[in-house]
Amino acid sequence: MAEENKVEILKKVRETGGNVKGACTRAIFEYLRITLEEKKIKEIKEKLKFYGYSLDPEKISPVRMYPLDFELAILFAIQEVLGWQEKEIKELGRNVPKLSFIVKFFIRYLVNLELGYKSSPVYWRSHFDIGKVETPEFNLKDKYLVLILKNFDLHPIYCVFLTGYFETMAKFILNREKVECFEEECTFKGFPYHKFIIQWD
Amino acid sequence: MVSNNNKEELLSQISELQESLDSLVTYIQDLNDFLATPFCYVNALWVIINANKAFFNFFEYSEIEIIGKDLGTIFLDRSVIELIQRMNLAKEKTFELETKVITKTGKIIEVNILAKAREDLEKNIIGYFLTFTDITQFKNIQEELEKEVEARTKEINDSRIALLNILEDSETARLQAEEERNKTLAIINNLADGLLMFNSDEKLTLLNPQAEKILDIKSKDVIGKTIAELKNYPSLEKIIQAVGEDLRSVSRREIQINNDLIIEISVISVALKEKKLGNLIILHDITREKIVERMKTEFVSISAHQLRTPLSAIKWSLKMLLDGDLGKISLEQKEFIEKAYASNERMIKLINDLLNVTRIEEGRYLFSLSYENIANIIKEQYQTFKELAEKKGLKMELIFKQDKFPLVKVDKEKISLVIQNLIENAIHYTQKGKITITLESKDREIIFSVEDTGIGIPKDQQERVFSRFFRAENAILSETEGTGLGLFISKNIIEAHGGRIWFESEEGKGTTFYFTLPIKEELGEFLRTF
Repeated sequence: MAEENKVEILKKVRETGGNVKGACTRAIFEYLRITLEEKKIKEIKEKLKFYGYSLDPEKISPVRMYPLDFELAILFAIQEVLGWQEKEIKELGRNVPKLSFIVKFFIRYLVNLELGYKSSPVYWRSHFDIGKVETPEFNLKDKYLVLILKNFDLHPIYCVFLTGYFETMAKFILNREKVECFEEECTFKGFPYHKFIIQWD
Repeated sequence: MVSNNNKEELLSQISELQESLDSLVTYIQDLNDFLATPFCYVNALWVIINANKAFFNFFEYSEIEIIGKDLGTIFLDRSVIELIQRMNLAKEKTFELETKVITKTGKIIEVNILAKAREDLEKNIIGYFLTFTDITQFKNIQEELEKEVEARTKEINDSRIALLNILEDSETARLQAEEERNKTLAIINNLADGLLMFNSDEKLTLLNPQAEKILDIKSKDVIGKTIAELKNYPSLEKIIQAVGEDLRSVSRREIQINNDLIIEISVISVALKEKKLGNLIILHDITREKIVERMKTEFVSISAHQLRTPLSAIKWSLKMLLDGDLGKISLEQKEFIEKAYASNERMIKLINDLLNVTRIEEGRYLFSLSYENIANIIKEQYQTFKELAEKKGLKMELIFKQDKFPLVKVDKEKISLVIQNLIENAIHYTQKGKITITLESKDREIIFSVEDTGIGIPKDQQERVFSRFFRAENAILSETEGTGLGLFISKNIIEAHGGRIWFESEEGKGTTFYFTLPIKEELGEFLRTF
C-alpha cells in the first residue's frame, strides 16, 4: 500500500472519529521495546511524525482516550518500518494484553470464560468509544464462541491485530494452551459486521 | 440537559480523575518494579495475569513469555496448586507453603510462597496474590543443621550405647569386685591371724573374727572408733601402747596380753598406687610357740646344767692326769689325754654357750652393770689372744684413737665375752695377715671394731650371721670347731646394753665387726636414780 493511501486512510478515520484508551498504545510500544532495538523504535516514531503525529506514544496516559487513527498510524508505521505482515501484527495483538496494566487490571475479575464472554461488550466500551460488541453464541460443548463487532470500520490490519488480542484475552479466562481466534466475517469483505470466532482445544 | 458550565465542570472532574488514575497507575507500576520480592497475581483459573520485575528476573521469563501462562508452568509439582485450592476451601485467606519452583532455564529453586486470596464483592475468590521467597540458602543451612543434628543425635545415641555398655561393664566389674571382696572377706574371716584395719583417718574399719577372739571384743562395738577411743578397751590397750597412737610401723613385736595369751603384732601400711589407705595390724597368736620354746629352753637349760657338772669333773680329772698328779704318763698317753681335754673344753664351751642362749631366751640374762673403763677390758682380751695370734703367724694390733675414754656402764663379764668372741673369730678365720682392734669414742658412743684379713663372709650368707647355730660355709671348711652361737650371744649382749653390732665383709679379703656402746654420764645417771 502506498504511503499516500495510508495518510488518506488515517485522515478518513480521523474524520470518522472514535477514540481508544492509551493503554493499548502503551502496550504496543512496550512490546516493541522488548523485541526491537532503539533505532527501529526511533524510525517508527519518525514515521508517525511523517504521518502527522507528533505525540510520543510512550508518554501517553494508559487511562485517557486518544484518537483511533493514532493507533492505526502506529500499526502502519510498524508495517512500513519493519515490514511486518499479518502474522507479526497478530502476534503483536497477542502480546498487547499481557503488557497492558489496564487490561490486566480488568481481566482479574473475570473468573470464567462465560463471565468473560458476557463482559466483553462492557470491556469494549471501557476501551473504545466507537463500535459495539455483541455475544451471540457461546458453545462450551463444541468449545467455541462468537463475537460480533459492529460499527467499527477501521482497517483490515486492525482486524488482524484484534484476532491476536482476543486470543490472549480468551486464554486469560480459559487457561488453555491452544486457543485460536479468526475473523470469519469482515466489513472490509462485504459483511455487515466483523464476526470473530474463538475456539479452543 | 446539562448546561455548558456543568459540562465543563464535569469534564474538568473527569480530567482530574484521569490524572489521579494516571498517577495511581504509575505509582503501582513503580512499586511493582521496585519491589524486590517476586510476586504474581493469578486469576481463579490459575492463569498468571500480572507479575513484577523481580518475578520475571527470578523465573528468567520475560513478561510476554509468562503472562497468560498457567501457574503450573513455574511449579515442579502441580499438586501445589491443588494445595492452594484446599487452603482456599479451608477458608485460609493468607497462607504459606514451601515448595520447589522451576525457572525457564530449568533451575529448581526452593521457595516459600505466601498466598493471599482475592475476593469480589460477593466474596467469591477471583484470584491469588503469590509472593516467592528463595529459601535455598535457608534450606541448605537447615539441611546442614539437620545433618548436624542427625550426626549429633547419632553421636549421642552412640555415646548412650557406649555408656550403657560401660554401665553394663561396670556392673559386671562391680559384681566381679563384689565377688572378689567376698572372697577376700572369707579369707580374712577364716584367717588364723587377727586383723585390725584402720583407715587413713585412723578409724577402725575391719576386725576379723580371729581378732575378736584374741582381743575378746565384738566387732560391732569397736568398728568406726578411733585409736584414742579404743584405748579404753583393756585388751587393746597393750597393743596401742606397743604401736603408738600414730600406728608406727612395727614388725613382729611380742606382747603378753595376759597369762594365757602371747601375741606377736605387726603393723603394715596399706597403700594403693601411692595413696595410703590406712594401716593393718596383724595379731599372730604365739602362745603355743612360746610354751614349746620355753619347754625347749628349760630342757636345754636343765640338760646343760646336768652336763656341766660331769664335764667339769672330767676336765679336772684330765688336768690332773696331764699335770702328772696321778703318776707319770707316756708321751703317747699325754697326746691322747690332751685331745680328750680339748674335746671336753669344747664341750664345756658349747654347754656354756647353750646356757647363755637359754638365759637370753628366757629373758633372765641378767647383767651386773657397773661403770667400767672399756679400754682396760679390751687390753685384757688383747693380751689374752695376742699369743694365740702370734702363734698362728698373725700380726695383732690394738689402736686406741683417744688417750682417754669415758667410763661406760656395762656388764663386764658379758662385754668381755663379746670382745672375746669377736677376737677369737678373727683369729680362727684368718690364715695370714693381721688383726686390728680399734677403739674410739665418737658422738656419745664407744665404737669398737675388730678388723681381720681372713676368709670373709659370703655375701649370700651375711644376713644370717647373727642367727643361732649359723656358720658360714667357708667358715665350716676353714675351721671345724665352733658352735655357731657366739655371734648370736654377742648380738643379744650388745643390744641389751643399748648398743648396735654389725659387720662389713668381703669374701677372701676380710671382715670387720663393729659394736657400739652408749656413753652415759655417771653423775646424770646417778641423779636419775632419784
